[in-house]
Amino acid sequence: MTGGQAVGRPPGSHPRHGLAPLLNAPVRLSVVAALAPLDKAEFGFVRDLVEVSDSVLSKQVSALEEAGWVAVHKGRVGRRPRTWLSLTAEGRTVYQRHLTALRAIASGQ
Amino acid sequence: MHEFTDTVGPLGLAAGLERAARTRSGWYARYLWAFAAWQLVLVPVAVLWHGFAAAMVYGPGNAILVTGLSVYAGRQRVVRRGFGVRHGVIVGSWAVVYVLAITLGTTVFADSPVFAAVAASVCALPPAVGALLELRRSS
Repeated sequence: MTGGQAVGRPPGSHPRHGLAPLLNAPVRLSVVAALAPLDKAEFGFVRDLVEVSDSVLSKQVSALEEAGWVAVHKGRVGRRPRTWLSLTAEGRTVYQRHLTALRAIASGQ
Repeated sequence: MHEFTDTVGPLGLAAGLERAARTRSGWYARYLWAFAAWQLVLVPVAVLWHGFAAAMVYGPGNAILVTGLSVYAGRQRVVRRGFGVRHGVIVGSWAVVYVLAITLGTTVFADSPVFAAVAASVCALPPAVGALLELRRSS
């Protein structure tokens, strides 16, 4: 899934066409930004970094997972269950394109 | 849900979060510093000290350090991008240098304190350089 028009060639030349609508929400953008420099991060790490509750993060991660931009892996360390989050290759591409579009808009191109 | 109404806000937010995630994933530098420091003990013991007592220090000491570092790494909540390749290169480089040092230290330069000191420093180099690069990436 692509989460809108972000993946593929934008239909127009204005930089706003490079924006991913799904990333216009601050929490979703925050989650993707937090995961961008990482291979993977534990659910609790992202929750603490983004400063949201478990339920809010869970809901936003589900939306990103449905779009195919975030992968969720469940595992265990000893007896403790752990949920790992990571950006998919598509998610990384969309995020970079989103940032490029934002910079272009901010600089008035 | 609230959405951004300008472009500077999201850019600043994204940059700040990327920086924070990088900073908080700096555990690998501490791991490498410990590994590098251990070389300064491990290599001289392996080259200069022989017999049962040496084996009793070398074997368990190494096992405790490797287990400790593995547990430390396994408990981390975050893994930096490219960690697997980076770790493979550092450990691979260290293994080559270490095997060479032990081979030379037990044959050509047997019982040479000077060689032991040089070999220990050279063996500490791959993890130490890796730790310095990690610190630079974290900032």
